[in-house]
Amino acid sequence: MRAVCWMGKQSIEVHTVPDPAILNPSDAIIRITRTAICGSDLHLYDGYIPTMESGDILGHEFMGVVEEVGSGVKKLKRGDRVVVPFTIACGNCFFCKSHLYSACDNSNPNAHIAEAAYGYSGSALYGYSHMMGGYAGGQAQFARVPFADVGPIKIENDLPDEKILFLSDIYPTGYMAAENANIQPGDTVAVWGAGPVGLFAAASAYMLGAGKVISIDRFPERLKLAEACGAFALDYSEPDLNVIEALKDLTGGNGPDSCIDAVGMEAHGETTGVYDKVKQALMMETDRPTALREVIQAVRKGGTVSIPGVYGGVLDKVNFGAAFGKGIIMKMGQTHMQRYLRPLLDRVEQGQIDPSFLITHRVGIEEVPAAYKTFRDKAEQCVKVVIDPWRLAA
Amino acid sequence: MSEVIDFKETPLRPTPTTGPLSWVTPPGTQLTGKYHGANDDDSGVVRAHSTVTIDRDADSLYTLWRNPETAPYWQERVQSVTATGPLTSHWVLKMPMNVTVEWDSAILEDIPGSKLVWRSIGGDIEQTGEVTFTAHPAGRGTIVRLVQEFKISGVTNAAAGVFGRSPRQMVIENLRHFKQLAETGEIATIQGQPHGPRGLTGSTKEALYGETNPTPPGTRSIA
Repeated sequence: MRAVCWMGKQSIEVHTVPDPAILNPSDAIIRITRTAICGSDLHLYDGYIPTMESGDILGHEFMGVVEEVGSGVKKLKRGDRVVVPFTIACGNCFFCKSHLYSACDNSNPNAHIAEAAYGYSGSALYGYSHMMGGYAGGQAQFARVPFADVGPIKIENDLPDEKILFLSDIYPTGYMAAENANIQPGDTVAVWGAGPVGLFAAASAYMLGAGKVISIDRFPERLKLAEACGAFALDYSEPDLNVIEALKDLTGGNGPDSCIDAVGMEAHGETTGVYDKVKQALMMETDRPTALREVIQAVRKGGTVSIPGVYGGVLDKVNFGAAFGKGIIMKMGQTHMQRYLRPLLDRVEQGQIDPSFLITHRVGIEEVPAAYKTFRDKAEQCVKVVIDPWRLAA
Repeated sequence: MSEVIDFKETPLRPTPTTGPLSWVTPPGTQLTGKYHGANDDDSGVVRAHSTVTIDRDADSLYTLWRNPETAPYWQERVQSVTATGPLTSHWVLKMPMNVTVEWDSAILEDIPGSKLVWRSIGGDIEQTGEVTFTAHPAGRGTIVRLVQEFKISGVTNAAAGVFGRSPRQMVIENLRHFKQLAETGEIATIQGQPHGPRGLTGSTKEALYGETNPTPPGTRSIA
C-alpha cells in the first residue's frame, strides 16, 4: 500500500510499504476511504515530539470500510463503514471503565517510555511517536485497528465521508474542550486559535449554552469561519490591540468565564514569542506556552481554563501565580474519544452541525508532503486538509 | 517524621533458604531476599519489583500465575516451561544472539489466591521471586506485587539492557503483559506492522526502545 511516512524533521515522504495484517484477536484492518492532517501532526512535522523514527506511518484521523477482522472481534464485520477514534483504548481497564479512555492502561506497548517521561503512560495513539505506542497511522490506504470492538463507531447512514470524518479527532476534541470549560448558561467563552479544534470548540460552546464566544486568531479566513460559527472575531495581530485589555472590554471588565487554549505548544505571539522561539530552538524548553500564559492571564477570577492544545514537555515561565491568585480551574488532556462518538454523530445526523465546513484542501496521497508544508505555513488560506488515499495523482 | 523504614535492612519475606526446599540450594550461593539497588554492592544480586492493579479477582489471577506452563504466553523470551513435579518446573529462556538460558524452579510457598514464592534450584541462572495478590481496598480488582532477584554480574545486567531489556525492566514488562492478558485477553503489540524505510539511526533506536524484544504471544497462538 501507499503510506505517508515521517522521515525526519520537516521531511515527509510517501512510500510503498506492506499492507497491515491482523496481529491480535481483537484487531481489524480498515480500508481507508478518507483521512486528514491534524494540527497536532504539525508538531511531529516540526520535530517537537520525541521518539519519532524515520519510516513511521503518520495520521490519526481516518475512516473507512472494514476489510478483515480478528477472531476476537464481535461487533464489526467485513464491509462495515466506520470512523476510527485516534485514542486506542482496551475498554476493560479501570480507566476505560471510568470513561477516561485516553488514559487506558493496556494499549501502549511502549508504556515504559511514556512512564519515564510522564510518570504513567496514557493510551496509545495512532501515528504519534513510539512513546505513544508506535502504532502505524491512518494516512495510508489501510490501517490496523486494535480493540476494534471498543474504538470504531459503525456508520449506518448515508452521510458523505467528509461530514463524519472529523469524529475521529477534531470535532470531539473541540467538544470536550467546551465541556471541560464548565460553561454555565449565558457565559462568555474566549477561544485562542480558530483552527479546526478552536472552531469546533467555539461551535460546541454555543451548543453547551454559552451566551457569547470570542475567537482569537490572526488569519482572516479563520476568523471568518469563527464568525460563521457565531463567534465574535478578535484579530490579535491588529496594531495597538492588547488581547487581555480587549477581552476585559468585551466582558464588562470581568474577563471571560472560560478560556480555551486551542493553540498548544507552537504558539505565535507578539510579546514573548521571540523569547520562547529562541529557547525552543536551543532545546532549552520543549513548548512555546504563549497562548497558555494568555489564557491564564485573561480568565476571570474563579473561571475555567480548558486546554485541548497539545503540550509535550517542560514549559518555561508559566504564570502559575496568576492561576493560583485568581483561584482558577484548569482541565486538559487528550480527548476521551469513545465517550463522544455516539452523541456527536447524533448531532450530525440531526443536522445540528455540518463538520465539513472548515475543509479548504482536498488532496490525493502523493500530494500529502506538499500539503503538510502548506498547512504548517497556513498558505493558500489552508485550514483543513482532507486526503483521499486512493487518489494517486492530482 | 515519626518513623523511618530502612528498606535495606527490612527483609521482604522469609529468606528463601529457610523454605521447604532449602536443602537443594548449593552452599554459599543463597539469595538473601533483602533489598539491593542496582549492583551497587558486592552481592551481585539485581532486585526488581513492580506493582499493578488488575481488574480481576485474586483467585483467577493466582490460578493463571500458578500454572507455569502458561508463562511463555505472557513472559518475555520464555520459550518453554515444563512441569517436572507438583512444585517444580524446568524453564528455557531464549536470549538475543541465540543464547539459551535454562534452569529448574521450585515453589517454596504457595498460599492459594494470595501468594507464591519460588526460587531456582540449579541451572544457568540463580533467581528468586515472590508474587502477592491482595484485594484492592476500593473494589477495583486485585493489587499484584511482584519482587524478583537475579544473581548476575553488573556487566551482564548492563549488556542485557543494551541488547534488549535489563532483567529489571523485564520484570516490569512481564507484569504489564500479565495485566494486559488478564484484563483484555491479549498483549498489545506493534511487532509485524508495516513501516517505511528506517535508516540507520531508526533501526538502532528500535533496539533501544525495546521494540526488537519479541512481544509474548498472549492469546494470539491459542485463540
